Amino acid sequence: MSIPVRPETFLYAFTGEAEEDNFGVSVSGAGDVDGDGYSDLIVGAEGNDAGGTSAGRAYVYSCPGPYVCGDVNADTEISVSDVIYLINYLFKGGPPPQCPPAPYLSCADANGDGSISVSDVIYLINYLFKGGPLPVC
Amino acid sequence: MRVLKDESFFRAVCLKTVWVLVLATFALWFCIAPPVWAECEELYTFTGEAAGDVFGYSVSEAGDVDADGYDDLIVGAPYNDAGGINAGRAYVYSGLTGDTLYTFTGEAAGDWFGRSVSRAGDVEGDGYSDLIVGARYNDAGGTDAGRAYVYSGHTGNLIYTFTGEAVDDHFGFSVSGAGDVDDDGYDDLIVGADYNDAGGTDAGRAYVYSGQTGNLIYTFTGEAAEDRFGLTVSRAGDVDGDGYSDLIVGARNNNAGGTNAGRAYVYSGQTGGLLYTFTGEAAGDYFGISVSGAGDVDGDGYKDLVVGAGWNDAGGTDAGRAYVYSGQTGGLLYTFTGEAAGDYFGISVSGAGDVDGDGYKDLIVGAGWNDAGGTHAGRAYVYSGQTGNLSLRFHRRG
Repeated sequence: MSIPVRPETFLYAFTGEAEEDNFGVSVSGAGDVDGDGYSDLIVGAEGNDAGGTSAGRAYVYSCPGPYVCGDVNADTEISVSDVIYLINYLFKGGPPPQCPPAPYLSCADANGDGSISVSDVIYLINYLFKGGPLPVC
Repeated sequence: MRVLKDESFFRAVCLKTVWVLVLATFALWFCIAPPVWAECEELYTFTGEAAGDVFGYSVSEAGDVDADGYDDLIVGAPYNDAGGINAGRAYVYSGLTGDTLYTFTGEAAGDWFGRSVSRAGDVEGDGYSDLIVGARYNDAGGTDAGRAYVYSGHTGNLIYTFTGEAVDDHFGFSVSGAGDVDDDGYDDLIVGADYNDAGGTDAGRAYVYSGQTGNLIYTFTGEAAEDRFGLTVSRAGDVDGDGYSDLIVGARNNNAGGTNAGRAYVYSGQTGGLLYTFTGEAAGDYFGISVSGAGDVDGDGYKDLVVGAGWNDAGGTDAGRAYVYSGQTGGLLYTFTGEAAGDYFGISVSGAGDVDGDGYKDLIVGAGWNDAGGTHAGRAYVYSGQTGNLSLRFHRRG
């Protein structure tokens, strides 16, 4: 159930649990089910067998809210403290990036290559001190 | 001097070693860098009561049914047997607790009650969101004339029953809250009858009812025989900015763009007049198999629209496609294409609300026959309304 397929084209993809589940045969916005201020989602899988053959199932999802790309320590701005925070995380066992809501790590992927590494540290330094491009998480 | 020279030599070697170590560490980090994953939390999983119920055939937001400040949910199971074989059932769940708030059951065997479910909006004007459920094979108006039922969110009681005009109309094949079409402060309703024969055999029809009175406000009729107009209906939101909620209706078998290319129609809530007609790209696309209001996707203050064409071949035979249209101009904003042949991407579409909190409404599209999780396991995709693609790099770890 991992999802490496064309991630550049969608925000999220959810995948059915098993063969012939027909997950996605029905979809809808769900409103704000959990009261986190962001809209949630509901997806039907009419052929799911968890409750018996083709008993069917529906799934409700809540997704993480917005963040500032590069704001690794979640103080609402990109500064040298984010660089220090990220170095501390990568090399000294420091706490993980605080992309809200934790533990989502995307805000630390400053160069947008799909992983967090020293290249993100360099990218942030370049942005902050050398007029480099904006972080592109 | 010699000592100093030795010291500087030693320092140089040491520095070199340190640099090699640092570079090696960095190189190592490039190789084993942790992937960036963000997951949407699975809040609830609701499961059908019994084998063969096909629970989840229809799903919808329910609005805040119990007025607890959290939005609730409704799911249909048209083959449920509680009211007779395939009488069908619909379930309303609390968003806050996941508990079942109401269970509504079909009147008679074979009704397929729950084939369609939707938030009805606040029909009664009591501050609780109400519900509408369709039963396409109900026989009250003649064999398979069909029926739709409107329930109070506050009490669970039946508020209205709307019945198909004639035998074999399949009224209630689709249902939706319509928003406040007539601006009387009460939310209205729309029901499709895709086998109605008023415009020709199976041309189809859609009906708009007043939430306040239950009276018929508009009837929209398919253009030609076999169009199956009304197979899908949805609230469109205020597309034209006149303060009245508008409507969208799909006719997947319309032939204007080629045999069964399909079509979707957007109607003004204020006048009942046709605002836009969107047509499928190619024969056999079945454009209009799904339609939905999209909310204000592009941030221009006008509500936008999304239409699915599950049999479109752009991404492979029957890979499917979904189209997002500007409410203000009727122009195409985005096209999303299925990943692989036979995915039937766009078999379902819906406005998703602002999922990522960027101030723009997002979209969700289903591909029920996608094979990523196993043959026909299916998949659903969420798209950014702001960019049409990735604005924040999120994946769901399986």
